[in-house]
Amino acid sequence: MNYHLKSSVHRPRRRFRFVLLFVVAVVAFVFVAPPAFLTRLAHTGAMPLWRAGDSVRDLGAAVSAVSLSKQELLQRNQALEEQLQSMQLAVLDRNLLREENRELKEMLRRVDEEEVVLARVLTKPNRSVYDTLIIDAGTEHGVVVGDHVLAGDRVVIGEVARVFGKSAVVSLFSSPGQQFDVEVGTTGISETAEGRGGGNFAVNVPRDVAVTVGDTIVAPGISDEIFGTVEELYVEPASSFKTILFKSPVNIFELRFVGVVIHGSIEIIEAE
Amino acid sequence: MPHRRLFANIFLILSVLYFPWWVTTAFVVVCLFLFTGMYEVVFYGLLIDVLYGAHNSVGEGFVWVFTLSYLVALVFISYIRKSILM
Repeated sequence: MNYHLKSSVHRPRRRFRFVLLFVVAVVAFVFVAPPAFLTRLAHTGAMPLWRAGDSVRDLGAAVSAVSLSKQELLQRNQALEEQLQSMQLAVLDRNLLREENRELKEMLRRVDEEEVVLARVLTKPNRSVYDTLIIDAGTEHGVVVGDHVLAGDRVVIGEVARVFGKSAVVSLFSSPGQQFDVEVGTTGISETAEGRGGGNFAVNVPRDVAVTVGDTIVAPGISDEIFGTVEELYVEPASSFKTILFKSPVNIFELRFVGVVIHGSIEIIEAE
Repeated sequence: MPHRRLFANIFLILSVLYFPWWVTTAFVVVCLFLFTGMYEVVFYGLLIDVLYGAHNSVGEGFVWVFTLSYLVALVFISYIRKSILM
């Protein structure tokens, strides 16, 4: 019986074709974003599973709460009540000032007519390296790309990067390399801040600017949106600038709900 | 063996949806060493990119980080496996 010997003549050509195909695919990938219909389809399929995961987590939390002893629960309750009382006192003058601020803006005809849509956070930023959240509000709720996203009342954490019918992908301002304008405390100085990941940011200001730890970093303009508070200051002896490290007051990994400001307008500077 | 591969695939899908990316990636590497020609991993990379990807500054706007990484891992680990087994 005769067998054909395997020829290795065509092997390099086949390998070259494979490499060429691979290179073309890579180059194509670099320039093409994921098609919207694919993401919409994936979100539609994944949303019931994410919701089920949330329900399981809630159930787990309820079960663990039941397993706590009565004494432990009483102690926690007391600590929380004390915390609540001190918070209520701290918030009293804040509400007063906010009302005053609103009235002043009204007098000067600068009232912000903004609508906030509540959305549930479906995934945390650690699911991928893109540092994004997925929320359950989309075009059906009036959300568009560029709307900014708030945690709590006035803390701005990101902007809508992609939007679909019932979901949206939120890109966080604290993502490494993300750049945007901020106003430093009450100095009125506007500078470009940069995300450092995990709710941390950095901004360089002239050395002489009076900034202290605990100062607030806000969005430029007349809105009262907060990015964070100053945590640390670094001054290089030979430099004419100092670096302010500031942190968002919210823990992004513990967020369950966010607010989407319909047609918000924080300008993002494209990273070079 | 087919059962093990099926369970691995189910775990990978759940991992993409519920676990941090590094857990998924570590499991992908383990699967590539355990199973022959596990081309599905490229699909899971694609799924991560499609679900969570956004044109932000992370990865310099490149939104196919996982697809490409898992493809490279597939080729590289398959080559290593082949060299070891031969």
